[in-house]
Amino acid sequence: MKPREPRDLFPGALEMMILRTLKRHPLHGYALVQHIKRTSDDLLQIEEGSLYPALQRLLKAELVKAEWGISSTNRRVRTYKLTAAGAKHLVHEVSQFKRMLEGISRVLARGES
Amino acid sequence: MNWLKQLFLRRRLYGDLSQEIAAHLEEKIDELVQSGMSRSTAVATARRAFGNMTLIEEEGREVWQWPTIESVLADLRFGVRMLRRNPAFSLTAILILAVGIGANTAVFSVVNSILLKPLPYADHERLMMVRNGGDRDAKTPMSYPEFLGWLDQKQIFESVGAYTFGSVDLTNPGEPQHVDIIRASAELLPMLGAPLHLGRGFTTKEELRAGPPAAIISDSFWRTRFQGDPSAIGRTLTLNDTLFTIVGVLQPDFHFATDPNLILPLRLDAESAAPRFNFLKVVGKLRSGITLPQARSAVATAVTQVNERASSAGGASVSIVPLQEVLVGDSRPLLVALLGTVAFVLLIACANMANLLLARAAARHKEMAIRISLGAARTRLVRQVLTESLILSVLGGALGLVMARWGVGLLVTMLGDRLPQGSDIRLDGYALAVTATLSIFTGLLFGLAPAVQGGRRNLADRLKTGGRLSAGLLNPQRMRNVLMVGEIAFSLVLLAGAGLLLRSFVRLAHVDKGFDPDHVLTMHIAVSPDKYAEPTREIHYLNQIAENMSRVPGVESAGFITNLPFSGDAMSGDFLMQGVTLDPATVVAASKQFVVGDYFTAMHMPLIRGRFLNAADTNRSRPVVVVDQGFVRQYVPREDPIGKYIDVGWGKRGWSEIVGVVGEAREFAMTADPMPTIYSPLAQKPELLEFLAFNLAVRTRLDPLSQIRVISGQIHQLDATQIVSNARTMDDLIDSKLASRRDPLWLFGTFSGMALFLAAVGMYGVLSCYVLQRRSEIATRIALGAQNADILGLVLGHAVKLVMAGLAVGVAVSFALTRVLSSLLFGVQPTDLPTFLGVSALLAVLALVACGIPALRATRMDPLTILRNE
Repeated sequence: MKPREPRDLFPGALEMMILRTLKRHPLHGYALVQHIKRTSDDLLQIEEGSLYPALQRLLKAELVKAEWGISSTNRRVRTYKLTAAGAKHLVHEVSQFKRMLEGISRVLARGES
Repeated sequence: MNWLKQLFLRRRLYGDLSQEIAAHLEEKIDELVQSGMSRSTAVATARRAFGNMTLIEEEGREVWQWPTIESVLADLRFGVRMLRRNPAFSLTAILILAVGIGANTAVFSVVNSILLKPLPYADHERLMMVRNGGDRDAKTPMSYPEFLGWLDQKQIFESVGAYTFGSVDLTNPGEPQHVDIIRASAELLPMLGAPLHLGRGFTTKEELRAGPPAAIISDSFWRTRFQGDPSAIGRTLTLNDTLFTIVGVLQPDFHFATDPNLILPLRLDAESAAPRFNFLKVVGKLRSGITLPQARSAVATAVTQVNERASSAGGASVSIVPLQEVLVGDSRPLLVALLGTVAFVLLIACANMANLLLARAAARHKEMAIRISLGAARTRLVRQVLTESLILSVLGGALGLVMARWGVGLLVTMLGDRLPQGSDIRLDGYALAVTATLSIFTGLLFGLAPAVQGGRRNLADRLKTGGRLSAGLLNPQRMRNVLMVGEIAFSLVLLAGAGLLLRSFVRLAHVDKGFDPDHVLTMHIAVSPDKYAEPTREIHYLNQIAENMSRVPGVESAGFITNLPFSGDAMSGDFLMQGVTLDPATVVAASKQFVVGDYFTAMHMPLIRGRFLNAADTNRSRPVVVVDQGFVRQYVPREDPIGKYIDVGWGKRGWSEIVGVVGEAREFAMTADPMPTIYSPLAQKPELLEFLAFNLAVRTRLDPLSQIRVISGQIHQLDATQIVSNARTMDDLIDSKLASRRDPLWLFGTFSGMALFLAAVGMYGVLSCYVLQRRSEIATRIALGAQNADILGLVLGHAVKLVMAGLAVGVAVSFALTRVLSSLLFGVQPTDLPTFLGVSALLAVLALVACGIPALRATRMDPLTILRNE
């Protein structure tokens, strides 16, 4: 399996953002992309499509579940919802990420001085 | 989610994903259009923002896949598609594999169950058959006193059991029935470790003549006659008008010899059993720790002592042979021959398979070359070819399994009484595995050759030559030639074997039987021992039956004999002769028959010298016997046998004068020379009556079967309760014996036919390839003015070389191998010239036809089209 995430994201970043977004409320694919783009103030270069393989991985790991339904704009959409396992995984990932960021920041800070 | 569920859900998952992506794009497009973009620009923008849709969708799917399996599945799908596109090739390959695997598995299963599997008895390796006669002599059974003598040899045998086959008329309970029985000594069943399902074995008291009559019944008899009721123990059976109490029921999985329904005790004792009445089969279990050679020398030393006590004159030597060898008996050469036959069929099948795959590989050379030049990895091609071979193999193997299951049943029916009875024959998984592996391996080996070769050569060359290969070590044309020679050679071996057996059978069917079976009706007549307890009364009764037959319209003559020719029953033993000195090394043994009425005339047996036995030979006249020509040849070759005296050895001692010599009647084994025979008048041996059973032979002018009613009616006029069984014509009896030789012939014929067919297909294939590879040469020749005859000569000349080589190799191999058959042959040498000439000619004609078609096709080639295409 070749990783197809955009190069400016580290592996797992997209998944983490998806989980975090879904934690607030369930969304369908399109809304999810728009939300991530909007919240990141378009700083992240994300191909809209790249979201879907990530969603499939999350589905397979049973961190999210999906259901077909009708959206507020009256479209037939597939809405993703965080599972309990997903919530737990998110907490774990976020703390891992924070520690990593912390580490990287320290190294970067040391280099500056 | 478990993987299985995933597999089934996958289609839906994939559907969800594409729908979702489509919905995403639509939403985006709608939004862009609403913001004022034109629809076509919106579509393009939305797609650009989304990224590579196909790739993303594929990636989304891959999440759910197990990559190696998935690509193997894809290979499989492709392989199946390739095979379906070429159904003639695929079906041929699958059939060839199935025949090879099926036939071999079936035959090996039978061989394994009979020749290799140990006997299912306790300490089977210590069980020995003890028989009169040295290693090279004809073996004869033992007399009761001899059996008792060996029973005492405790330093050799831990225990000794004896048995004999027989039949009785069962009249109660249930339908009257003629049943086969075994009479066994008390020790036999415990020695074999025969487990009883219910009840007990025989006691020593029951073994005695005066003891209480007891019976052990088989499981199937118990279930059919007593519905498996345990209270059967203690109930009685009426056998030949005597009440026998059931004391035991055998376990269902116990088999011995003929698988009889009933086992009765011997009911003999030293006083009543005649010495020299050799009718017991004796099985001894060696003491543990004694080796076979040790036991043999111990037996050789003990013989004199045992014989003296048993007052037997012959049997100067006694042999012991492992029971398994004896029970397998003459089925061994037959099974070995059959195994050899199917092994050759498998070889031919493999050669054919190889041929097919080579031809196919040649046809696909261009395809392979193109794929390599397009960048396919060699491993990828190898995997593809392997997958295809594997699909063929698995399908062929599965069909082979079906054929094997069916084949085992067919073999058992066809071989019938040539197999030891009571053997447990099952499909053998091991055999299946071996043959399947072998044929699959062949498939892989030859299937791989083109792929492996493929990478080795210069691609451009291969594309240019259109797939033809130049000479090399693995030159496919040379390989094909070798395979074709092999196929012809193997087919010749099989045909030669089948031909020899066929000729033997024809000889056998026309052998001089020593009597005329036509228009003779035979039946078994068991006389009630209670009603005719007095021997003279019974003899009178039998005489009356024979005489009364003359009142039946159409009947010419009638008489009783103890053992009918071809019935498979025989009684033999030693005897004494007066005034003739025999070579001390000669085994003195003869078949002994007892006659009532005009048996010889009824059977149309030729009188060579002297006279037949007749009604005047009674208890009060001087004792006489008639011997057959074989007897004269063996024991009185240089003197006039008439007037010589012999002591038949059974019953009261005393000399009987030889008054006549009759022709030899084939008696037991059709292939072997008949045993020297002594015919005695029953009237002069009344004391033997209780040991003998009689068969009536009636010669009629009318159709014998239409006479059964009248003839049994005539018997019932004398005694309305008389049981008449086994009424059949003599022709019928002989035919049933011939059938056991005829049926295996069908098998050999079928296998040879298969081989022949495979070889023909192979030859056709090789020649077709030859023509295909040489098409430009042939086209050039035609263009330059070669006549049809020249082209035919070119192609057939190549074929003739291969066929001649194949025939030569085949004849050489056959000469070496048909010797194995010699014990199955009758009146034909293993190197019989007419047979070899005949099968070679047959094969040559077939080869001509198989090779002629491609050769003819070569002459019809259109040189222009071919040369232009090259």
